[in-house]
Amino acid sequence: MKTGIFICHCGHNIKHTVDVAGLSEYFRKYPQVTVSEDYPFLCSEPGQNMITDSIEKHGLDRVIVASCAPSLHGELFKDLLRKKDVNPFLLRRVSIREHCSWVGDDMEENTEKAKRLILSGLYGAAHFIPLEEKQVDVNKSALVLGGGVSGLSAALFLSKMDMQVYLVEETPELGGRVRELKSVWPSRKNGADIIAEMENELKARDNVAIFTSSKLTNFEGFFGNYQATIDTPNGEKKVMAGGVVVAIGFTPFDPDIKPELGYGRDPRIVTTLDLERMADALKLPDKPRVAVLHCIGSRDEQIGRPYCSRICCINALRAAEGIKERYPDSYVESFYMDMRAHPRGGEEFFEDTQEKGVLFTRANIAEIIPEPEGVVLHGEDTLLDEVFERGFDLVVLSIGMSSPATSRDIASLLKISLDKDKFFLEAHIKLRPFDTAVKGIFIAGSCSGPKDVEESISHGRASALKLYGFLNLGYAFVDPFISIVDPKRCSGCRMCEQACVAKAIKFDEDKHVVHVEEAACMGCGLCNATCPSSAISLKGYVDTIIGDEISALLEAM
Amino acid sequence: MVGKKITNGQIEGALNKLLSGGDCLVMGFEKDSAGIRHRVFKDSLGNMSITNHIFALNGGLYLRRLFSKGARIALVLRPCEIRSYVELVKLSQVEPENIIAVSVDCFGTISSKVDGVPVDPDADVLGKEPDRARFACANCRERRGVVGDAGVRLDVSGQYWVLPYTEKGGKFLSLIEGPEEDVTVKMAIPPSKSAAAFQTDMAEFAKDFSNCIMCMNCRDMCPVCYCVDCVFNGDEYLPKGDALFNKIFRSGSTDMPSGKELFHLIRMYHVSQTCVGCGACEEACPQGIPLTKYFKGISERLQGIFSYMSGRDPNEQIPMVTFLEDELKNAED
Amino acid sequence: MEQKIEKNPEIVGFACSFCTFKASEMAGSLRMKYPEGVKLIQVPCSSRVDPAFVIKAIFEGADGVFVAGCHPGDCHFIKGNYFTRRKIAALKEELEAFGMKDKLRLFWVSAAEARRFVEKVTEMYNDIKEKKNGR
Repeated sequence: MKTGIFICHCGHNIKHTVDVAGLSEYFRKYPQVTVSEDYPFLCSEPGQNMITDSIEKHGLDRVIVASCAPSLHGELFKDLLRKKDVNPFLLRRVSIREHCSWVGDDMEENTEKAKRLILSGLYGAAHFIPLEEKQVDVNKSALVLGGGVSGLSAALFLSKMDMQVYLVEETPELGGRVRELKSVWPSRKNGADIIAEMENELKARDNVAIFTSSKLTNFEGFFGNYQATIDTPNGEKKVMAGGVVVAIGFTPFDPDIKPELGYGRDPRIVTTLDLERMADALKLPDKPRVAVLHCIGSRDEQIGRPYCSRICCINALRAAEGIKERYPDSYVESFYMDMRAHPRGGEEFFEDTQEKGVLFTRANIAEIIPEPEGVVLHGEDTLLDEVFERGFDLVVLSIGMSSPATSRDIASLLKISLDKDKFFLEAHIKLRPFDTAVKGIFIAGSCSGPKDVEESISHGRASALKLYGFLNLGYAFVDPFISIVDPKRCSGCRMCEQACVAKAIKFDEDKHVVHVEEAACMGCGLCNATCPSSAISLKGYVDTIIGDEISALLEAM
Repeated sequence: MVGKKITNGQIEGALNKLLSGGDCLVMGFEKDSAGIRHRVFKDSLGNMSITNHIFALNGGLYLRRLFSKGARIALVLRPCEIRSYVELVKLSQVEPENIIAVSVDCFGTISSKVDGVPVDPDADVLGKEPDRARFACANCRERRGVVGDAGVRLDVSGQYWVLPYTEKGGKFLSLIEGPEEDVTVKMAIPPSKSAAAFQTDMAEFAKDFSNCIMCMNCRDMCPVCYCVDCVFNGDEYLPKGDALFNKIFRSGSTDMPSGKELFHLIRMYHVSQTCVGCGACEEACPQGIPLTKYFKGISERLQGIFSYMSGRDPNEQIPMVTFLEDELKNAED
Repeated sequence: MEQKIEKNPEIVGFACSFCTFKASEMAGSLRMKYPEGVKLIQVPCSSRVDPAFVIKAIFEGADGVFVAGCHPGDCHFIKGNYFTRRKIAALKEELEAFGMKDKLRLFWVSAAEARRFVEKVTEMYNDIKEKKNGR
């Protein structure tokens, strides 16, 4: 067996707490290690070339790459083996960055840890065998969940790229939250117009099926071949989809959660959404006093919403500006913690609003008490360090975004994850912000975290583009990590068959052994752990591999 | 519950009727001057005994991989043997369709390794000479004939009964001459009291297993250790030189780890849900290691957390292949 | 003067690819620190963990072993972790009978819970270190 070990410095990310040179030297003494090198950036072109040159020069049949976490550069390193006609599953990635150099400070201890992790890789890889990646056909179709602005954006893109699109929207109308906006900042366009434009374009296309007042009730299958069941007003519909874009939006924060705000107890206390809906119906007395409160339902640990909702400062500015424009004599005071007018033109908008006469007070509002003469805000001015009480004719709460109500249900159906705030979790915050952990399922828009309209539209298009990239070849490769039975060792006790969640194991009455239905196997390995003799084993994670990894981690060195 | 009273010869009569068809066998015990042992009877019963107070092995062992394909067998065995048969049915290691399983009230056994035990089919080991009873019998969880398709039970007045538990049992009952009656009498053997949870430590284990030579007899004679090719046949869990050094280096212990810990502790887990506590393992051990204490003790604890009892009901799924969504909250740390 | 050398425990953890391992990756990305003695073995699902592995790890010198996966109900393989829970509960019962119950822990960490992962492994490490040094 000829193993090559390649240890990455990752610039100084690994090198600063792991003695990479010492490690590459250390592993040269192992008889099965033919070459052991360390290099600044293995993912760089010269780094990659070093690996391929080594494979060719030494005839390596096992490659260990000790670097960043395996989820990064997944295909890049496997391709290097493919280039040199070595089966890509004879590669073993060892994470000595996210799991070693970045989580420990002591050079000596970290190097010891890295040594063991690499040894674990070395011992484990010794039991690797070449595996076949199966090619499957994929459906050139996509399921888009959510007919809001990001869902429409995704659907349009996919349709234009000749994918069959199934758009599922829970409410009777498309458009989501944007439909209700009278003026979308900064273009000042009417939200309903923006939606109408997208909707009409979508409806004119012949490869889009739109289901309103509908919801997803069942979801099965695997990448490229998902089977979705949609409950529509015209009965149940089953569709085959190659992938999914989840764009179910957000839920506006419900101020009832903070009773001290007094929302619902007095018609003079409204949210920015209420204000939007009221539009011209809003009636205020002469020279009205209006308060606008920022950060409602956001940056609030107490109610479990520590995050910033990103859109509410601009919304608050719009509300303040709107009042000032309609009632030039009004006294408008905005109470904020920080000003986060982040988009392009946002800072100028903030300046503008101040010039129009809106006052900005940095304050924490403790309580809102409706009195007959006015709604009284009890708060503390955090710049002047003063407590105050001020009365207003109208109090506008700039509410934030909460996770969509159905995020748990959808996460359950699709088997994707939620983050701590119950928004959908992306695969990697910087490198894979549109993917989920499940191949073929993408997220778009505010359901993956607060975003404004512009961001949601871009996000929708980006997710759609990624999905298109996966499907446009018409075929895809399936991970070969599925279970296999050794019929000579199988006793036919059928325990694995009973346990199997995917129902992928079938019993042969004549031979009195079981076998695995490859297409259905999910690759969890439950069967392997259930079988006392491991007659059924999960390829890539067989007992000998894991057993030797354990031994390596605990070896007395 | 209906049943039939039986006196001498009646149960043998019923079994002979089964044998006379030519396509049925009977597995039970046969006695002679030298001892009582398992026997499979064909055509005639010979010197059959429905009980056997000398324990050499668990008869369920012979039933493994028994796919009768037509031939029928009636089993007349001890409750622990019938319980292991029921577990083997759940593991698809025996086809139950053509088997009638009859469990007979058991009065305890003495190890076959003890010399000079007289052959006495009416022996009451637990009643008359409890000191000689095997550990498994002295602590038996279920020695009443209440498992299988039918049971042979002794009531307090000394009268034997046959009670059917399934449809097959009912058919067997119909072969016995005599009237069916309602069984209202009290049985001689009461339900067993639950034992205290088994507790030990590695020091005691090391002492008890110090003579273990890893002959694997215990595994080979266990009726429910059913694997075609055991994991311990290969070298996956065998002591490798390095593993020895690792352990000594770290724990500084001086006891000899020789793979024993792995073999016994892993096997204990593997058989935990199907072990019936018969003690066939201890009986087979050439070194006299008190295996029953450990295997029976651990299996009773591990079955207990799922409220499971091995061999009680063929429709009760083995705990490891099923689950409840809401359970075992304190398993989590 | 003799200086007492602190004995550091070795902890082996089985982490499922989709939840716990992802959380541990995130912990790394966020530069959260946890003791070097904690080393992970990646498995696709916590249900892949055979109790035999845990026993092997303990008897090859691990001071503690943990099995971690997705929260029940959130398993990427839908129901795998319910089986994990049963197996590990049974194994814990066996270890408890041998007086070794503190050598095995089971906990659930979702992909987003980097902090929880760090807290759980650090707590386990510290508890075992206390015991190992006779405190």
